Amino acid sequence: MAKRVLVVDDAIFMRMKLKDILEKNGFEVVAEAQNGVEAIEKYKAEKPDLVTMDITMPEMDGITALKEIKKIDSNAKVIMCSAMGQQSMVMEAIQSGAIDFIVKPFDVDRVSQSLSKI
Amino acid sequence: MDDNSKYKELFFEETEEYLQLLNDNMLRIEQNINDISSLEEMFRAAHTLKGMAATMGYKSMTDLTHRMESLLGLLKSGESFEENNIINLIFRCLDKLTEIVEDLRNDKDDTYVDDLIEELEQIINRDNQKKVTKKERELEEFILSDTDENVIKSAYEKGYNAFVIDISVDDGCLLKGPRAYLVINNLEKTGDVIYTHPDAQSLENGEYDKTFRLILLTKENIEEIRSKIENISEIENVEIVEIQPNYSSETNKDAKIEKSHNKKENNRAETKLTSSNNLNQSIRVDIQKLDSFMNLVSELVIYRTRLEDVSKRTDISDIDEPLSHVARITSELQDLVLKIRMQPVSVVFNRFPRMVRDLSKELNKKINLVIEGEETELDRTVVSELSEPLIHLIRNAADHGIEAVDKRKALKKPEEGIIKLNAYQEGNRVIIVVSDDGGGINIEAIKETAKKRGISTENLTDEDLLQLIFDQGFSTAKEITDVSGRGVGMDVVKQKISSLGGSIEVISEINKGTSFIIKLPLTLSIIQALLVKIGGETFAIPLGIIEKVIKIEEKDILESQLSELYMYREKAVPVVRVNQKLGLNESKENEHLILTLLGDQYYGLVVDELIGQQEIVIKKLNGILGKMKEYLGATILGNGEITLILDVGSICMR
Repeated sequence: MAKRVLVVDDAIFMRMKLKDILEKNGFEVVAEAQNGVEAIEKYKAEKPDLVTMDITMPEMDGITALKEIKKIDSNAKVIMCSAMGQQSMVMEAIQSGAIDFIVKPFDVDRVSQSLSKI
Repeated sequence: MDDNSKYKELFFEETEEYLQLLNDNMLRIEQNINDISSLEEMFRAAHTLKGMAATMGYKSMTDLTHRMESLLGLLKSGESFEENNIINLIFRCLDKLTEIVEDLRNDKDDTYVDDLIEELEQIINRDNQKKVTKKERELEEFILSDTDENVIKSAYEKGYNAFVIDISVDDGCLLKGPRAYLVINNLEKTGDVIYTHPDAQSLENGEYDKTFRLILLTKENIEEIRSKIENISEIENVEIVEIQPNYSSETNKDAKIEKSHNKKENNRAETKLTSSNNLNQSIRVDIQKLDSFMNLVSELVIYRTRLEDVSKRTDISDIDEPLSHVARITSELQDLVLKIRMQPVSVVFNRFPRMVRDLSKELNKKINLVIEGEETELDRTVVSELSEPLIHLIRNAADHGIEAVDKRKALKKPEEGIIKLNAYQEGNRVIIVVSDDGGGINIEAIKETAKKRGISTENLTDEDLLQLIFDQGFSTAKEITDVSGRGVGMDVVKQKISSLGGSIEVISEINKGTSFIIKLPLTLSIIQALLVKIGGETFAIPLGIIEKVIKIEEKDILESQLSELYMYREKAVPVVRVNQKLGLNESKENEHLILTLLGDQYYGLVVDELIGQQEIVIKKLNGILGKMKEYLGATILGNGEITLILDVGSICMR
């Protein structure tokens, strides 16, 4: 069965792109959220198998959202999406329980590879 | 390369929003350099743009936004700079970005950005150098605490395995620091990482070539550990060797790292509170879909009215109830589609503060732009067409309207000139006024130009003369500046406004200022109208401009020397006999007076019979009919009859 994914990013463009890659790799995108607050709501509602989480977002950033989701479900699988120059945040995310991270710009092969390991 | 072309439109649309956001915030920061929340927002926007551009593979845009993000990051962290330089630099970057986006739209990705990037780098690096020296000192401290074989020994005795693990990351691995950190973090769940090479701090900073080494104490076996590491992405190779106790330890180091991370967490919590920005929850819809939705709804309205008409004539009572539901639902649908199409004028107005700022620098004048009523809404098509004429008017106001500082001083005016942009709704129209408190338009200059162009000015009033500026090629500017006065002028503005179904007027007074008043229809398609009979014909009058309908008799109309008047609330209201204006028969029976408010003046239109209120779909008149100013357009009524819609404004004014 296809793994169900929640895509979190504040840019629609990024969400579309990621969704595309995910779907090509046989994942099912069940919900999208554009900030941390929405991400938590959608996580509760959908209980996805996987979350891709942008770090920099308005309202609530990805790291806070990650922590909140981990509180709700300690087994939650969250992959962080970061850009160059966010080392410290990525590390904080790993510490808070992110299982992996992918780096923007998204390279299709690279993302597929990360996904294949989940 | 994967195909990104289908995201292009979306990319441009979103990019423009972010650029606007950056510009707005930059203007705020210019006012107050300590505005941290604006900086935060800019930082986020630049960051997002970078990510988007990189994903699309737009190199120059990625490079530029990357540097901008770094610079904004430094600003955010409270670094001090020479304010003006930085602000101007960022503004130039924003301009460049706009240029890049324009080029990208035309499929050009070679916009020259090297000069800007160099400037940005200089500032960024100046600061980085400071930081590096700090870091080096920390590194030395760590190197001092080293080697403890006993740890491995005692662990070994307790049944732990000790592994030396060499891990190589992919060549293209982008964040090597976090990657290594992720590996170590995962391994620490199985035991203790007691040694790394290079040391943990350097690993976190990504300061290793491709491979790093660590020693792990764990109760799990080699294969378990191997699969744990291989399940992490971007890992190219793992080599694990089991060792006998003989090595070193630095466990306290990790404790230290953890502490520093906790500190960062606290900082984040604080910044989060300050940056609560409401992004609207919305979706994007292709405007063409909206247009066809609108069209379908209009058709629906036409057939609904026809059905109503049929039911009235044939008196089928069974159909009445469902029909009334259909009526309610279609009108709700209509309201909805109209609302969906509405956009606040702020969409256009937003870019003007930046424009006026640049103009005032360029022209060396002090100009304050005052914007009012930016929340006023208009049909989307109208809004998007508005920016060009408004830019023109504002440029004119800045260039020709507002005087130079010396001149203003001499005239005892405040040094700072004001350009005011005001929008408000009036009936079913939206009025936009662009005014300045500058020198006004020189009537004599207009006369001269008119003479040169062979136009007789003898019988023209000043007001008439002013309207001449809307004629083609009628520029009175003595010197052509970069900003305006290149011949293409007010005629284009007027044309544009008319094509939107609107009108433009000018009022000007020497040394006091000039105002341009633009009147635009709220929506282009469906309106509520009052159907009336005039001289035996049916006409529609837009309900929005009707103040009141009064039943009158001929004796209520008073005659003055020049015109007829009606006393309404002790005010004399000019009476307009529509039948005379349109050349129709008089009936003088069953007369009604329709009071309308145009600007601040009431007019009373004499009509014969009231038929009723109805929703009508405006269809534009084409060809010769379209040039008749008395009519806004035509509509098809329920019985299939075609009815003209009166343009009350132009009927009353002439």
